Amino acid sequence: MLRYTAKRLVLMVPVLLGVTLLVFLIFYLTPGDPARVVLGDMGQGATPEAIEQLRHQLGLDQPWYMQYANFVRKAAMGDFGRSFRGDRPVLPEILVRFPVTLRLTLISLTFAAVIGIPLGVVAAVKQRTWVDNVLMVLALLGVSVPSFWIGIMLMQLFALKFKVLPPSGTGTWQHMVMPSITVAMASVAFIARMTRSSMLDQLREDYVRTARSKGVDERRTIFKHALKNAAIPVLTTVGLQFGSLLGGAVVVESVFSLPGLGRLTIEAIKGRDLPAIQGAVLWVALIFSLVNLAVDLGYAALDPRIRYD
Amino acid sequence: MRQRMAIVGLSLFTVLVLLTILAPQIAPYDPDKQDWKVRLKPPSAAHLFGTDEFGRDSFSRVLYGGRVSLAAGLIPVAIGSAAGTVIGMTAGYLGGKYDQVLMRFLDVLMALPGIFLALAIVGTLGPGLFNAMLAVAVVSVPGYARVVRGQVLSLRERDFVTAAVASGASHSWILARHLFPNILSALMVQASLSVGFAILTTAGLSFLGLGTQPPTSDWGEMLASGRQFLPEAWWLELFPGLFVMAAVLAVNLFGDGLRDYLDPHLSRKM
Repeated sequence: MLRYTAKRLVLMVPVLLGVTLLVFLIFYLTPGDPARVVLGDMGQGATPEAIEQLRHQLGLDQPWYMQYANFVRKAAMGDFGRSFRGDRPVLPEILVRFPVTLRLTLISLTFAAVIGIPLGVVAAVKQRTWVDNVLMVLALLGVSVPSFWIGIMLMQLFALKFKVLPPSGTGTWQHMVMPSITVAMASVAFIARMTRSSMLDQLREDYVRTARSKGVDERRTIFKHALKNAAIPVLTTVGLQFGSLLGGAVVVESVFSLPGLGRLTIEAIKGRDLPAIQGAVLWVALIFSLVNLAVDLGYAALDPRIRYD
Repeated sequence: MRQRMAIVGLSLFTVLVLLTILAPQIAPYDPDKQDWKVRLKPPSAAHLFGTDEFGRDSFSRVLYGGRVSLAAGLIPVAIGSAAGTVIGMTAGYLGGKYDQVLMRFLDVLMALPGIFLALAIVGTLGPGLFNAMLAVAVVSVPGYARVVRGQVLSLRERDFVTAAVASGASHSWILARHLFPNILSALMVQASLSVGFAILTTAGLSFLGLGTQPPTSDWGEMLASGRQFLPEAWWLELFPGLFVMAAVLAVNLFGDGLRDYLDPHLSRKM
């Protein structure tokens, strides 16, 4: 297991190098001279000498492979460069913003699992009844609704009309209620569908028939036997939802004015702040890869039949 | 049951497409015509979906905006599936180093959550509808490529391919005439299920101000601009949102049904 973990960590390196190349290309291929973008904020009167000097300072006068090598070397040491707007180091800014996004993602994930799994179990147990049909139609609606729209509608209802929750910002747990429900919506539906299908697989197995014919209590058959075996694919799905929830959080942060990584990225894109965009993308790729690795390892830990080494 | 749902989905989507294609005939007003006398009016007989801050008729705007939104769902799927098919087929068929390199390239694209990759691409190319659609297309490429590659890997070993190779058929002939028809059903399922993702993501990018730029409008952009008039002008948020939902629901119903129809194992289970 340890060897497998180490191997997977090593395999992450080329992928992350690929991401750095992608991120570097963002900088390199973007039309316009970054030096002019930086100087543009200070007024239009920059002399050609000043632009040339800054190009030299930023290393833009070097060939692309040198620029890329420099970029990777610095990124590996935690230096993601300085933002064009505000001229601040990018990484500390990301580290301030990321906890907001992470908290929103984790609360949403918990919420999605706590609601989605029981709904899926109920739908499977009541297969082909009206309960199953209603739940599955709701699940389909859940994956079809734009999350930002649900966010706006919730805000309209609970913050502006009934005034029971704060409309935006951070600070208290109440601030996280609407954003988490919004982000979790699609995942609740997805997890419910996955749980249902995984449970149906198990309910058809011989051991369930045996348990039932022995007269084991139905509740015990479902929860103790079937659900336990259905849990592995379900938990993997839950883990892999982390990525889509992280993506969902990015959009929903804008709806609820949460100062997270998503808003940082969108502000950076609108302000053509390339180092900030690069930093955010690189950071998310790192976190996403680590989480997916953790899910894979968790898979092995949960299922004694799976051994990677 | 599932097949019925698929027919419902296809019918709903067809109705939506017809509504937007026939917008010039159906829309009661010019979608861009401003009328300051009827600013921010709630739904009425004269303005079914109310009016916006410039007194423009929201119903007409939803119909015309739907042209952009639905195209933004279909075009990226067309581009993404074409690119993904070429990558997946060649990788699976040629194998070896070529396969290795392409798969590592896809790993890089998959190292980011979809919307984040889309944001990175739009960040590079700049905001705009075309760039947003391109971004969504790129995001969907790994999904297609993997499905297609998997299919090709298993088909490659089958007798009819060996027979074609033995009879001296060229690689391109085998790929186009023997392999492609056999991966078509898997490809169609993947494509139909990703139209919904494409509609949602481009609407999301437009909502964030990174997709469609005014004066052009789509449902996402309408949702973004209507937001500032909440809570009073609720109709500006309700109707475009319902249309996005209806379109995505329609393609998801259809995609689910198609998948079950083409994969009997799943249809027994569902």
